[in-house]
Amino acid sequence: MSFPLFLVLIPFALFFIIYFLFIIMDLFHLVHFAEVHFAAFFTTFLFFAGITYILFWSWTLLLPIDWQETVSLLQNTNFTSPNSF
Amino acid sequence: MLYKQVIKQKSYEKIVHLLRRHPITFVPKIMLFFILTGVGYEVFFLLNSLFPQLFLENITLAVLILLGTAYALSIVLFLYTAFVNYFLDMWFVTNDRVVDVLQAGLFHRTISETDLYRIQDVTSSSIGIFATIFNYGNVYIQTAASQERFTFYNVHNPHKIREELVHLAEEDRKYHTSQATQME
Repeated sequence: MSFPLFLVLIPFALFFIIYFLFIIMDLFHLVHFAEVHFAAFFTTFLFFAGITYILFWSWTLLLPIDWQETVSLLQNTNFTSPNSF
Repeated sequence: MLYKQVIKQKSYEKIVHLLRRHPITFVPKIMLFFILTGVGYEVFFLLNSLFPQLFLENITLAVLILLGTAYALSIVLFLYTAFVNYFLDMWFVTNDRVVDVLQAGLFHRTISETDLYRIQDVTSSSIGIFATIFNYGNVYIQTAASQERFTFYNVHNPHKIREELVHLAEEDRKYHTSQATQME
């Protein structure tokens, strides 16, 4: 079985969509159920700074990877009967 | 949104106290965040020393980076969501009522209130070394309403809050008694 490497990005994209929904929910709660407060603003700033930092490093590390490369699974596996008993 | 909109403040009402849990009670969450971060680094170093070939192949390297990113993003979101829950979990004491806004989770929000004149007794407790040092604790309010007991968890200066609640309840009771006398 073989597939192009970029397909492993699909589960990550799904994760990111759910992640984005959680961020929206958090921000909605903060804006809708509380007044603007320095602590809330500062924590939100730190949160987005943290996300940016993680994504920057992730992007930097993923950049040299060739996503067009074909990945072959089980290519060298031989299923032989256990006849050595 | 303004707090007066959150509690649907009446025209004659004045917010006397807006209470939240003491910030020191959020420290365990921050410590857990650092522990989880440490676990992530530890797993990376273990994999790097035990299975270095994982970092040489294109597919395993890509999967490991993506998993590491997802893990790091998740723990940052965990801390932020914990902060949102902490920040939105609050109690309002006005000159007319007590409003308990309980934010138990991102999708779990309960708001309950009771009139001050319904308060029967108020108890405050500060238990433990940290609670004593940082002066925080619980305030228990016994009422005659349908929800009999209100609790302010880990609020700063609980004994002072209890005294003020008793005073405010007394004032409100006097006001309602005089209103009832005038009606007669």
